[in-house]
Amino acid sequence: MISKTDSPPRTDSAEIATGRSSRKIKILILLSGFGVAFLTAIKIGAVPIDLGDLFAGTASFVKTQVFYNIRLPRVILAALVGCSLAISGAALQGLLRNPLADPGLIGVSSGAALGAISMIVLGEMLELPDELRPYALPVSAIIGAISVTSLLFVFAQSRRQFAVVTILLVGIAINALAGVGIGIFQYISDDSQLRTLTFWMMGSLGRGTWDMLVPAALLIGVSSLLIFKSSRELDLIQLGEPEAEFLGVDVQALKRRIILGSAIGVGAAVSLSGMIGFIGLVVPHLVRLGVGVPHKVVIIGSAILGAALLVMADLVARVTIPPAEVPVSIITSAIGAPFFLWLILRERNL
Amino acid sequence: MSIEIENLSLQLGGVDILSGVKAQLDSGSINVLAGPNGAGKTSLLRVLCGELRPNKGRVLIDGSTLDSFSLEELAKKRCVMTQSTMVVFDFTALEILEMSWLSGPKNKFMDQLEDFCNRCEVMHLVHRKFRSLSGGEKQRVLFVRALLQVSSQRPSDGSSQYLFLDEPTSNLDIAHELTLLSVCRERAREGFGVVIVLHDLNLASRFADSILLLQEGKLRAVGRPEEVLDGNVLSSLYGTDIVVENNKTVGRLVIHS
Repeated sequence: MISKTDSPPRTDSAEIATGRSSRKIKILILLSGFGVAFLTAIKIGAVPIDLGDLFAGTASFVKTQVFYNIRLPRVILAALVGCSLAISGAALQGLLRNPLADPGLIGVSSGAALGAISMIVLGEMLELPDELRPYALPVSAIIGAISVTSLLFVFAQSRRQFAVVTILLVGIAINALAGVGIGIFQYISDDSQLRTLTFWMMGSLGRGTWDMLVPAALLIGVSSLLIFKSSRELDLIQLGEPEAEFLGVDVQALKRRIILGSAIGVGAAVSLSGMIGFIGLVVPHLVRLGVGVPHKVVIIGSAILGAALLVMADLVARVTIPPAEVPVSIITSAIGAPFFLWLILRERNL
Repeated sequence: MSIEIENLSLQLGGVDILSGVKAQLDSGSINVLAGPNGAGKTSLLRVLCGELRPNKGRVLIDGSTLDSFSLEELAKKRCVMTQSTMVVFDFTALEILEMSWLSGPKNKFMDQLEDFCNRCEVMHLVHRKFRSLSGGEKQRVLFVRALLQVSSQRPSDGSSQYLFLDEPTSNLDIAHELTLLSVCRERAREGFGVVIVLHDLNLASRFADSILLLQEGKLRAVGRPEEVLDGNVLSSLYGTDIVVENNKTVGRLVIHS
């Protein structure tokens, strides 16, 4: 046929393979970063704890109590919530093919909060047996999150072209609506409920106790697994919904799985710690920039970095004005909001 | 082995998009769908690949209806290259190509990936971000992606496979147009059924085994290029003067407009 004088040189498969092992190394670096953050966070606080003394058994009774009953569950809770919010953010961004999707911005967290608040105020009427009580708050938060995520989908699908803008606008509307619902519940709640509700809404990791951690870890585990198992399909849907279907992906089933997975994750996180913004937005982006974009990498990386980041943010919240605390959501928003603006600028240039 | 289109009708939003289309597309051949804008070429392709359900009629692939295949079976049976693919995140071209890997040994897939990349001259692009590629470069990468999906796993029972390509050359320069269609020709020789929506009638005349000429959702003419490409038919179809010349120098029909 035609002969081209300057055809590009052949490349061999050795060149194709580069870049794979460096990702593993980057994930390991993230993991060791998390390790450092975790150890720092369990050491530093209003009561400084020397880990050497603690494990040697020479630490004081008070320090031992503080460590096992307050510090350790709190740091673990921060790691779980950070991990869950970041994974959910990664999954929602992937599914909606929208880099600005964040559980907080698009209203999923508000939906979860409304669900949780309705349980705080109305829960006593249900007269649940004691062994189910720890699950009631997360479950109703999850139901709230599922309702909102499903609603988002109805809107995102009817006008696919404008999905990026539509979803953010719908998020604003849902946040406002949830605000109305929360206001109503505040109005009808009694004094003790109102106190619980107010503390809860401020967003804090200080309520981490061991008996809350077990159901949380369970739910967040289920959520992460549902999402992680879909990572290849989340990659394929980046080509477009019809294209993913041409490659054998059951797109509707994928949507249901991701909606359920992220709603369980966000619902569990919000029911434990209140609303903590921007982790779900910032973390997946940092992982994409630093490690890679395939969802397997994004999800594993987000889990680790999300945990590390929230553990560090909570540490800052605890040590800035001890023994008082800055609400952790202020710290995450202070980092996240400028990042969000930068992202909008960046997307606009494309 | 063939795709049989039986009396196909399609309505979208109350408008007749296709009506009463009957045709047979053989495997081992290149079938070009041509016709003016809005004639229903892309819609027909979307019905054939299973994305749109017809209101009437049916499509048989090797004797079985489209519905009888699962999504996974269809993914191995046929690949589809759509007109535009927008990728939001910064996947590299290589990552886009690897999405075609469905199952089976990965190293065999990678060998084939390398062959096709060299054949379609995209090897130098594989580590670039897909979003940073030009329109033509993206199109070549997506063509290779489609090819890989079906080529990496030939069925052991000898059943045929199909390539559905919607205007695959719309952004390509002349040389790459020819390369892409030559690759289609090679695939057809290997037994693939190739279905291409193509606007360029000269390319159609050069590469098609059979041309389906559509007009307002109906099949106006079907057959070999020399049967279908007629100056009078084309002039009335497109509403502009078109002359078809049997050029002895190049040994095929040349269409002037």
